[in-house]
Amino acid sequence: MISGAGDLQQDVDVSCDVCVIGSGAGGAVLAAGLAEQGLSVVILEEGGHHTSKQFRKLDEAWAYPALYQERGTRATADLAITVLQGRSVGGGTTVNWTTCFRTPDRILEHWRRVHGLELTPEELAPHFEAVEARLGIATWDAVPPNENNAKLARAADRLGWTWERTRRNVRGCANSGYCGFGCPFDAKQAMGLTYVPDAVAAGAAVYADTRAERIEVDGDRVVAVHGRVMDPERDRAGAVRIVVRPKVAVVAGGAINSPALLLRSGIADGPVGRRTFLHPVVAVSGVYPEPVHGWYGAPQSVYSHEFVDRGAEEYGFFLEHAPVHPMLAAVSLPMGGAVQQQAMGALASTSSMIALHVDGLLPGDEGGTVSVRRDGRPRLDYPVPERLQRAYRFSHGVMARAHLAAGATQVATLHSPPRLLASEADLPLLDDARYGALEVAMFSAHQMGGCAMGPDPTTSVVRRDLRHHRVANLFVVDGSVLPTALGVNPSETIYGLAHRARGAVGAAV
Amino acid sequence: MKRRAVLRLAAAGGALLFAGGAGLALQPGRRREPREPLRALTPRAFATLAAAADRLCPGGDRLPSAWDLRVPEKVDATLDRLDPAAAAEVVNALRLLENGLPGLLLHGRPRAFTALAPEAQDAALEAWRTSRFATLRTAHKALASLASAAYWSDPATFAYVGYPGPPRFPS
Repeated sequence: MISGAGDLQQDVDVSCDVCVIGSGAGGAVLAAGLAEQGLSVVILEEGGHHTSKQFRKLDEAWAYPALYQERGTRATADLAITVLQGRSVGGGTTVNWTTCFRTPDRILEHWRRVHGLELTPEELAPHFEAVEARLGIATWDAVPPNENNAKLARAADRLGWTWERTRRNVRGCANSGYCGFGCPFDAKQAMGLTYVPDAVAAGAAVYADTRAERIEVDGDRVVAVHGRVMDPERDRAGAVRIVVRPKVAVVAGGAINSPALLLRSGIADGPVGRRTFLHPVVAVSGVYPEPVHGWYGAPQSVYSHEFVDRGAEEYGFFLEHAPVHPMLAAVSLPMGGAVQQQAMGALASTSSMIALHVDGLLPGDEGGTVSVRRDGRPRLDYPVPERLQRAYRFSHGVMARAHLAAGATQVATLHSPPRLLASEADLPLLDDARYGALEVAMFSAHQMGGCAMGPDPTTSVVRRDLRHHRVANLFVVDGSVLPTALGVNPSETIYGLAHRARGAVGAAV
Repeated sequence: MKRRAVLRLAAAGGALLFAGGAGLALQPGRRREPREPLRALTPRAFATLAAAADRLCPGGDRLPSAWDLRVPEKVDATLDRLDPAAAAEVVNALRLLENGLPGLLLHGRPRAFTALAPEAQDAALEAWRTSRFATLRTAHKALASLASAAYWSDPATFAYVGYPGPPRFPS
C-alpha cells in the first residue's frame, strides 16, 4: 500500500521489523528483499508518488520541482555546482538517464588498498546478476545513438579514443529522450516500476510525501523514527506526524540527505557528511551545421573512458552527453541577456558533451562536506581546488577537440561570456579561461559518500556489512556509503550493494 | 570588506532608502506591480525582480519579454513552494540588489535598482556576476537561474529555440 499526503490526515504511530528511509536505488532494492523474507517493512519517502500518467506532461517546469530535491534548486552552498538529485517514490531512479555500470574492478581494488575495505567483484557478482535480471540491464544498441550522442562516437573514432555503447535499465524503450522528466512509457525500469511494487506486493507499507526528520536513539539502539508528512506541493512539512518504531532502521536517503539525517539525529560518530563526492561536471557545447535536436532520443547511449585514469596526480574524467532541453540549457547560461539568447537560439543545432570528474581517489582529495543548517536543511560545501580546476581546463580541451573532430562549426564553453572556438587554432582561448567556482558552470548528477563504509570507526561510518559501527540496529544502504566516487554512473553499484545488504539487515531483525 | 559588514551596512542603507530619508537621493523609477496576489515577495522585492528579469531575459524581435511571460509572478510562485529559509535568501538578495548600498560603497552607485536606466541595470547585474565577493556572485546566480528557468520553460519561447516540444499523448 502506498499512502501519500492526501491519505495521511492523522498522526500515525506504527511498529514494524524494518523502517527503510528512502525508496531509491538503495532503499527500494533492500525493502523488496526484506518484505519477501516475510519481514514487516515500512518505507518513508520524502518525495511524491508519481507515475507515468503524471510524467506524460513532459513539462520541465513541472518535472524539476516535482521530481528533484529542493524542488530542483539543490546546489552547493555557493550555488557554484547545480546538484541534480531525484526525489520521488523511486528516488533518483525516477529521473536518471538509465546508464548502468557494475563497480569497476580498479575502484574495488582502490578501496581494498587505500581504505582497507574488503569487497571483491566475485562477492558482488551474484548481486549484480540479480539486479540486472530484474531491471533489464543490458547494452542498449538496438537503436543508433541520437545525433547528440553520435558526436562523441564520431569524435572518438576520428581521434583514436575508446568508446562503447551504454548499458541501460530499460525494457521497450521508445527512444524519446525524456528520462529526466520521469519515463512516460514505463520503459525505464526505475524503482517505482520494479522494486517498490515488489516490496508492496510482499506487504511493505510506503508512506510517500513523508520526510524523516530525526532518528531517536536510546544509548546504542534506534528506538523510533520521527517524520512529518509534507505539503506535496511545497518543500515544507505539514502538521501530520508519523512515528515508526522499528526493530531495525535503514537510512537510504542518498548522499547529502543520509548524512544530514544522521547529523540531525545526533548520530555524529566518525566522518558523517565528510568525503561527499559529486563527479563534478563541466560541459562544452558544439554547434553543428545540421540539426542535433538533443532533446529527442535516449539521453545517454555512448560513453568514453579514454581519460578516466590519468594517474596518481591528476583527476580522471569520463565523457558522456547530456540531453538539451531548454530550461536545463538556459540554467547553464546564467549570464542572461543577449549572450544567453544567442546560445538558446542555436539550441536545435547544439550538442552538449559533459566530462564527469572522478573525485575521491587522489591523495588529499576529501571532496565536499554535508552539514546541517540551524533550520535542519542540509548544506553542501564543495571546494574547487587548483588541481580540479586544472582538470577542468584539460577536459575542456578534450571536449573542444572532440566537437571539432565531429564536425562542429563552433565550440562554446559555459563561461560568462562563453569562450567560442572555430578551430584548433582557438584552443589557447581555453588556457586563459578561469575554472573556479562561479567562473564556469558546474553540475553534479551523481552524489556519493558522506557515510563511508570501512573497517575503522574513525574513518568510516558503517562497516562493510553497512551496519553502523556503534548503533547496532542502524544500517545505511545507499550511495552515501561509497568511500570514493566510482568513475562510472553509480546506480547499479547502489542496486548491487543494497541487494547484498538484504542478508545483513534481515539477520539483524 | 567582510560579508557580514556588507550585509549590515546594506540593511542600514536599506532602512534609509525605504524611509526616503536623509543622505541618499531616491528617484522613483517606474516600478512594476504584480498582476496577481503575491505569495512570497513583498511588492518592492517583486518590482526589483521584475526589473532584473527584464534585463536577464529581455526578449526582442522574436521573443516576448520576461514581463510578457509573467516571469516575476512565476518566480514568486516558485519561491512560495520552496523551504521558507531558502526563499528568504532570495528575498534578501533582491533587497540587496534594490537598495544598492553595496554598490555605493564598492562601485559608487547609490540609486535603487528599479530607479536605474536599463543600461545601468545591466551594469549592476554584471558587477554582481563578476564581483570578487562570493556572496554577490551567488546572489546573481540565484536570481539568474530563477528568471531563466521560468522564462525558457515557457512554450512561447520554443519556436525561437527550435524545440518542437514534447511528444503528445492521447488523453
